[in-house]
Amino acid sequence: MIGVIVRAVPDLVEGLEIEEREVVPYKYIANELDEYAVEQAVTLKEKYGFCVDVIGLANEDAYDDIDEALYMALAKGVDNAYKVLIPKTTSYSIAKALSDFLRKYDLILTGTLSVDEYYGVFGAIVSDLLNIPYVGGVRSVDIDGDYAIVKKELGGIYLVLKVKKPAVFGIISLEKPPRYVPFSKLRKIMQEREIEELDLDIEEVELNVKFIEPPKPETEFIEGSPEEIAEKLAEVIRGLIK
Amino acid sequence: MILVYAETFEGKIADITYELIGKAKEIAKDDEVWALVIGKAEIEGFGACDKVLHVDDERFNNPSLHRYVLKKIVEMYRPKKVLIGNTPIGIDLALALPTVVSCLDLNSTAKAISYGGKVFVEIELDCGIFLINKGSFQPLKVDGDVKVEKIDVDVDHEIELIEVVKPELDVDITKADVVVGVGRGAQNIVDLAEELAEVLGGVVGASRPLVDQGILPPSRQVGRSGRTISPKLYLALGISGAMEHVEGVKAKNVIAINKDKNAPIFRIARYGVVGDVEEIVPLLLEKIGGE
Repeated sequence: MIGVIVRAVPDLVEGLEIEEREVVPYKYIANELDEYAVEQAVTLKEKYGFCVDVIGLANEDAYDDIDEALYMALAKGVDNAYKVLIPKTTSYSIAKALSDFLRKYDLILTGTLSVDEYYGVFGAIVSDLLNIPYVGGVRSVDIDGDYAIVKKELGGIYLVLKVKKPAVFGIISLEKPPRYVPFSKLRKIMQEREIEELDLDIEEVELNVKFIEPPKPETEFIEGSPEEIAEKLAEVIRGLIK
Repeated sequence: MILVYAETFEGKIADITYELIGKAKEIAKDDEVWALVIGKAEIEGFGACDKVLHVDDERFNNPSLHRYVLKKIVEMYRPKKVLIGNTPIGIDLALALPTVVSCLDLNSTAKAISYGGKVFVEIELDCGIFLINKGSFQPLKVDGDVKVEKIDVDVDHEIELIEVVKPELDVDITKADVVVGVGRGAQNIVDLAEELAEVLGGVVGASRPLVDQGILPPSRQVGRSGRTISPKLYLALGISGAMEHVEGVKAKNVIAINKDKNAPIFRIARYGVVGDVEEIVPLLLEKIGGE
């Protein structure tokens, strides 16, 4: 059995409001690397017939937004979808509350990091709490009996590792682009399937953090019509590569 | 005690180790600074440390086992702070302990960068693990004698390194004088970027999304999990500039074109254009190509 963790994170394209004690996104989406983890799990299911569960983690504001990613996972071939309402707390607290539920899986996959993860690495914490191996930066997973064979990225090269199951892997990329799901299939799944809510007792922990907007860059911005911009840019480039 | 994890791979100590030692010495005050070397490696440049713990065992030439060694060392010696490079090897060493990821500075508080480079986070944390981004601190590499204590550590987990795969490179982007970088915003104009690179005597590089989508091969990837480039000019087209990418850019000059005026790439750019690459690049090619 494979369990995949998918986290709702701020949509960075839509922008953020940065307040001293809070970052308020305009919109939430599923963490991209977690969606890669779903893709990897579905590939393993197709190859070996594993049962795959997806577990969505979302705060109050993102609790409805995460549904689309979970239905999408079901449309891709995931067997069961669960979701968990998470309070304002740390990755450690969430992992601790979830660890009993995750214990049954042979493989637990998630993104190596989420875009808003600055305190703790979720997959690594889960593995420590379950006392099972962890490898992050993984681009592919295969199975060889009691072992998983993973490729780990390492700055232009990669390591091939043989890891005893059960294990947790942090996914960073895919060897093939994610599969396409037609909207009609997604709509059908949304009508037919349900997402089960998991009620977990997650301890709320308030971190002493302050959010700051980075200083404005000292960039010299080139302005004008596209034609003027191109003209000025060409001049700048010629100067720089002389 | 402050513990610095000396990143090693194939017997070589990674440069970031000395950046961590530099910062550790600065914040240590009366505390000692120890370095932890795991696996076979030549101990050099650790003269500024009070001690080196060396787990001198070739089993640990496999960096995927280092997190379990670190865990034992932390239990044995209880360091106040553990400094680790935020690299593909280092990030796997995050344990179930308070850990700051993508740390840019460390004093009484830790400063991290998050949300794709759009937010700084200041965290008050006296003890814990700090995963520090490359290039954040000045390196301190001091020759000279240092006390080396060899220790044995056993680990329970089975992770075997079967193979190190080093793909053949179609092009070496680290040697180019001009790199035209393409990101998600430029995925429709990769052909134009290639033309532009050719006219400028350079090569095309890419941010992770384009490599992940198979549009360009991994040899072109710039960043933490790709390659570090140091050209005279880096022309970043439709690249948002997440830390993952920016860490691999050591260019003399950066020009960035991006639709989003708040894109973090502008923080490293000398010149910037807020605009659509699909509109500007063809015109630029006309102007430059018309030489």
